[in-house]
Amino acid sequence: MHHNTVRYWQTISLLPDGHPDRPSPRVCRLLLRLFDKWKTKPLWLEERDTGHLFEGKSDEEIERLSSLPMAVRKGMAIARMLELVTTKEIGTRAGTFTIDPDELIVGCLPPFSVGQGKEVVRYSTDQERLAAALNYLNEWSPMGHIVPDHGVVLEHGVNGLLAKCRDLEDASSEEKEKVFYQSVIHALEGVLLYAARFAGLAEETAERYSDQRRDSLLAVASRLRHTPANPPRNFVEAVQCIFLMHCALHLTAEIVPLGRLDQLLDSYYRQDLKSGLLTKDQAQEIIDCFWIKLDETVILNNRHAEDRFTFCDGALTGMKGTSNFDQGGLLNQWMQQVTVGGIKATNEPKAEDASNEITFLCLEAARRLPLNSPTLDLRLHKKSPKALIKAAAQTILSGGAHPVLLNDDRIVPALKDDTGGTVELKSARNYACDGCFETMFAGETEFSFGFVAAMAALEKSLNRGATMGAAGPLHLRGSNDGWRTPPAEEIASFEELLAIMRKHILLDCHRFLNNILNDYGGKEAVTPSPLLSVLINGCLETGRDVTGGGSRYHLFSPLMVTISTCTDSLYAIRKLIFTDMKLTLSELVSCLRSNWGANPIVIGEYVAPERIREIRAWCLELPKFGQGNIEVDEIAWALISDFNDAVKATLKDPVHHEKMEQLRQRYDRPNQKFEILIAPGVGTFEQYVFNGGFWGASPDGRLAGQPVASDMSPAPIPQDQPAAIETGNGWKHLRSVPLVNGLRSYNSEIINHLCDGAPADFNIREDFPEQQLIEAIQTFANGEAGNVLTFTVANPETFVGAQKNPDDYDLLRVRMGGWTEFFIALFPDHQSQHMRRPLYVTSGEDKP
Amino acid sequence: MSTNIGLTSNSSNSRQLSAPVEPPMPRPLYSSLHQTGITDPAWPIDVPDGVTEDEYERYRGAIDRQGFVTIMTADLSAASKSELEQLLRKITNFAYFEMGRKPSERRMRPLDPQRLPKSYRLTITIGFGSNLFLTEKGDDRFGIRHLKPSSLKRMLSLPGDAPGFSPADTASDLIFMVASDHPYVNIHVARKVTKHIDPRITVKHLEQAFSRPDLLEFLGFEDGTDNIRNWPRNDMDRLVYVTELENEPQWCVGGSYLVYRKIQEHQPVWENLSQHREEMIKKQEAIIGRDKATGLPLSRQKDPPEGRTPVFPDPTDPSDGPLSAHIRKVQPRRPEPDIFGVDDLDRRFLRRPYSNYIDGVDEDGEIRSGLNFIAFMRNIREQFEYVSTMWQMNPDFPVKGTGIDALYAHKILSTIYGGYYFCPPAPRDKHDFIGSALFE
Repeated sequence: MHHNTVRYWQTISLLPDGHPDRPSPRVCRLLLRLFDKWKTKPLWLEERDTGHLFEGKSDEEIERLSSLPMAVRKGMAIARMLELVTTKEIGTRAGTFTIDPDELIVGCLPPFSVGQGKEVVRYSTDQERLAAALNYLNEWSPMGHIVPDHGVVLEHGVNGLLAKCRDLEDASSEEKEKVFYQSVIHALEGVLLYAARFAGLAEETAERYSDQRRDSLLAVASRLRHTPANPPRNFVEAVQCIFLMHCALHLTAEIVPLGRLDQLLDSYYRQDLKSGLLTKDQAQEIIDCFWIKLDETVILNNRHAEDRFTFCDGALTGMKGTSNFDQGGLLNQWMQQVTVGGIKATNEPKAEDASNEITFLCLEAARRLPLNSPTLDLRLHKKSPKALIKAAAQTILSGGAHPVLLNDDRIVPALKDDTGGTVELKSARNYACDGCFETMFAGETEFSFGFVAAMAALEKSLNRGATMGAAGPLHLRGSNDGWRTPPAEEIASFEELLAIMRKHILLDCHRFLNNILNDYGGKEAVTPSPLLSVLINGCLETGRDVTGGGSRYHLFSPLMVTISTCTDSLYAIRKLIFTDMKLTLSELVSCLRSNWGANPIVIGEYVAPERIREIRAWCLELPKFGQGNIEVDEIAWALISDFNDAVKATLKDPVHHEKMEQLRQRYDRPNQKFEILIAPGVGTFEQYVFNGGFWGASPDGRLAGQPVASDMSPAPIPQDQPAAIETGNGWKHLRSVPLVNGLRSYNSEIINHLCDGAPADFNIREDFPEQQLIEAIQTFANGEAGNVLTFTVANPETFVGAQKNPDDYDLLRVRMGGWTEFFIALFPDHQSQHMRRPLYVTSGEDKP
Repeated sequence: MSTNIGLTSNSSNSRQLSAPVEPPMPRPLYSSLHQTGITDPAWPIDVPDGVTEDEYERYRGAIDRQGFVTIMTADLSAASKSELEQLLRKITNFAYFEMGRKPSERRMRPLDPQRLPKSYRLTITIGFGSNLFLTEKGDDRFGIRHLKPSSLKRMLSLPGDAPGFSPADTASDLIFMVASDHPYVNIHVARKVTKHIDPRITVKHLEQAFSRPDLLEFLGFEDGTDNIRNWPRNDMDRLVYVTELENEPQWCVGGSYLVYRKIQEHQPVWENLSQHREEMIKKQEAIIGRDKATGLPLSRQKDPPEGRTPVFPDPTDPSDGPLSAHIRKVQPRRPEPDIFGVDDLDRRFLRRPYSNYIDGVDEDGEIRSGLNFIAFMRNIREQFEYVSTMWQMNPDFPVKGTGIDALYAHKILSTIYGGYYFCPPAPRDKHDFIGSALFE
């Protein structure tokens, strides 16, 4: 593991030729320049660069354009964007049209990220914009989070798809379908131009050189002249084809992941290997070059961030409201996940391991290149090869906070049978991660999510239907948000409290589904996605955009958040109030409303400050979730079980039948039934600082507004409490837990219900023994530790050092809850949360 | 200057040449793509009449630095891109006016003209700091960050930086490197830059230094003994200037990166390496890797004809001098290309060693002195930074445990000021100005 770029090069440069850590000279040169790019502010398209489709047009022309269907205009806007970014003037200023002579894979990704926003070519009229704004939508509203199927372009090429669209348009008698195909045709023609422009640039650049760079650039140009217009003929063309399509998607506001790369590329690799066109080392170099292209817009200094957000950016279906969240925690999040491994996407009864040589090449790239993107997701199962598990351990220990580990044996059956609809086995087996970790049928589904907060349910249960974050002079006991349930003093038992919580959870699940059903299809009229639709199975077949019910599946996920904080809180309540009877529930509620004494002006039972301090101290000392304590962990499992029951009950409840039926009538197709599929999951993503801000003080001792855990991870140490101390023998973390104990907390079948993924993000030391990590990963692969697992590798003193001397730690990377980020790029609250996560250690190391 | 560099002699070992040779002049203004003061004045490659090839060998294609340098770093308070354009035009006009002036004979007494040179060989070289394109805080004040030269950035912190020295603090918009053969000329230019060109120019640091005629610096060794030059290969042009091949913004072609580091030399440490003079000199030679009296390398083999260039058949063999010796750490001359596929010799850059400065005395009564490291190259990342981080300050180069450059390991040197700059190509004519391409 390397803390900084200087030390990285110092180490790599002394390795003998052929050492696996040593990339090829070409890759080293590209990487060296990449590191320099990270130190400056990425170039951005300006709003004036992209403008509006109507810009510079005559009144007549504007009138003509305005009369075109929105989808057609969107297709034209996509083509316009791809044309603009490859003009010399804009392309140079915005960094969207450049080639490094060492590149094997060319194209330029924009720095559009979930945190910084994006730019688009606009295409709506003022009246349309107003109408859309009333529904919190605009041209910036595509939200990514959908896995495209690049196999479509690999198989047919853009020309083939264009021909198919033209045929389908001719054959269709429905105007709406014709419009959809026209929109796709415009978008695909834009892609052809984009590729041709880059081919031209490669040829032009080649003229400057007379050495091997000239040959390399001419080869790049030749590849781009062939693909993506036509199906790639070999491995390097396939990688180029995928990257170019990926660029085209990101440049046109579809910030999406890459899918199952090893499955997409394997046949090209084997064919080239067989024909002698390629060696394994050459394939590794191509993958390395591809990896580097996916990481060119890093910000290490958060002063280099842009904020291009509009009020409807990345709108989630069912989340009617303005787009405001923790952008600062998302600066380098471009949603570029690569999923590898797992089982093959077949309908055969017997599952067959899907890992191949490309799986290993991807792991190797992730291991030896100190990047944060792409985030690599590795699917594992009981029969995953031992070598794969070893490679995963080595990659994790290299410090990139990936691969993210996913358990197929837990996820696939649940995706097939537990979403409330019909899913083909092949599709469930073909799941890939979206921009974070959410599992979905690659290239076959649309997706959105919403939140169901466990802490909201607990607060409302303790506080007569009101959350406690706003308790005080203004809102008295808090913000009213749910059923008026009995006051704390009337709750006689722990079981009664849980029963009340179930009611609140159920209502929140109903709200989630109701919002989806009300909002469904709204984006189609504002921000259709013709280019993405090409890569989503079902859309071309039905003549519908992915935003208008075109995909084969319609997957939505209610995500329970704050599970660990809620679990720790429930344990404290059960232990201190109902078992040991050291205080009453109403006493506790007063403590919480007062934010553990920090805000004494609250209503309810008066509790003296000394008593509050005493109670909080008891709460802080109790065992927590994620430490392998069965009494605590069972509470978490029960909570998840209640959540899952509530989701299932919601889907069956007659209250939603009418709206469901309406959607079916609107979107059912003879060859494609419309079903809303619900995959429950857990997901704060990187919003654990933001999310904690909603909740009041919690019975686990946490203060109001403080961060919660990422996803389903164990809770961090509260921010006002020390997390690590310097001893004579280095730094000691104050919540050190044996890793084997931590994994036990996730060893429950109940977690399988969370088939959208329930990640546990663990921190381990930099010298964590490889063999013990292999054993831990094997435990996970065997199905004995949850369904998603990640590791951040950093010592407590490393975090301290990085805060003090950021330049010395410019390669320190951490798991954000959905992806990997450079620690020094984070704002202080996020840094602090990472330092406060429990440290998972080897057995026995937790003892003083 | 009318003085020649040698007198007639028949001895090949003599320091005198067979015939008088005029020192070279800076390039004529507007005659080159490159700014003056980078690779000029330089000795012509062709051997002058009356001088033998052997005598002239050390000069061919090499820099003939002026005697004095004044370095100024400055910030600009231009409020817009057009104001920046005005300022750069003013600065260029000023610099080219001054460089075009001849020594005045107005107040000459009868014997004075003998001492008055034909030219003070004034060169004013102007460099842009990364702050001009993007400030430390991420502000693109003039909307030109997309034109920033690719390896221009805040100077890297390195081992051996003095406590309290932060390159972020010393970074500036501009650097002026004023070189001439008389300090008063430099001071005149400095005064004008400081006060008279435009009030929106704020000089934040001014440094004066001189070079010794014997080429030595305060440690008693020649700085730049084995400097690059344009003979027998065109190394100077090849390694100093940005070309079309560098993948830089087009406007950078013909420009050069400048690395400036003010390095304090801790003489008491250097002079007390041993109580015994002979042993002290041995230690000094081991630290530098050269013989103090002759300047020849300690390597067993030396490149002919002069032998000033070491040969290291095995870069890890201490028989050719301690592995942590300065010259072994900054130019190992390995036979194979490195991990980037680049030969070690292509990592070289031009040093323009106007080295010696004196900054008064410290609290112990010791003179504060040292050198101004000034180097030009076509790519900071691939030359200066590579040499510094991969070799010189890499404690494990060439073998694990070698330690960093002995000069820094023994705390003889510490860097106290500096920055990275890019010197744009020269103006094409009187209507043009330095950096004009930023506004096209």
